Amino acid sequence: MNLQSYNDQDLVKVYIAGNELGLQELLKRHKSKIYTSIYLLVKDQYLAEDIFQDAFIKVINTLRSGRYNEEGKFLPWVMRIAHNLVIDYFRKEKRTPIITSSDGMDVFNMLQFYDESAEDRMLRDQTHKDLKAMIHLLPDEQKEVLLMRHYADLSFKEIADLTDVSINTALGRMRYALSNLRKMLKTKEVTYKG
Amino acid sequence: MTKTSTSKQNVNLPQNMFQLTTDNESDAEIDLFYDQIKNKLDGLVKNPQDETINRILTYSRNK
Repeated sequence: MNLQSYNDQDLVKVYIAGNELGLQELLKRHKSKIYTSIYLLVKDQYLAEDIFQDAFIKVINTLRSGRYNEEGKFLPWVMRIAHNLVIDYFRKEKRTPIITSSDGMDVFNMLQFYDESAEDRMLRDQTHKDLKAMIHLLPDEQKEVLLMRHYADLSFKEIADLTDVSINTALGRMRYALSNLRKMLKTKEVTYKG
Repeated sequence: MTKTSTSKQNVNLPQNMFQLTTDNESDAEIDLFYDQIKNKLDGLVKNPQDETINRILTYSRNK
């Protein structure tokens, strides 16, 4: 069975019918969108892994119980679950922290890149570091929209539904997020070449 | 275990950084800027560990 050509809703049906490959394909298709959005919100690899896993356990439980009725909107639905888990986490912590892993290391910067010089690698690492820092400095509502739009690939309608605001507000927040990133980049005098 | 801090010392913020106006910036400028940084934003994409995926699939199989 070639599931790559199936849309999300069909994959959900395949899974509910008892074929585990449906879930496997959904995970393969959406894992980076969902995980990156979580990771950039919580800034901690291990916490992001836990929230990602908890989100999919809720997904599995809901699908298995026959309570899923999102009509083809699988990704926004999972993003809503993940988003609520992130909010729950910060609510429990009663803070909006900047979190580092227990060993203080940024796993992102430990990734191996073999086809570039040490100088290029340092520049890229610095660029990523700056960009991540700037994203984290955005107001929460702007950061959320940026992550949901760029990484989760949600439409502004889906983002508006998920965050309980109007589409215009979601659009405005994206614009402010980009505007603020632009200001920060100017301030840092970071030059980005295409 | 995690440790936390609230330091923002690494980035110098201009005053009124998060004001809800974009002043003289046009939509075209913002769009152009977004196009310019898309690749850089894409560079931050990460994936969960295979172990996490496997735990999810195992949970599903045993459910």
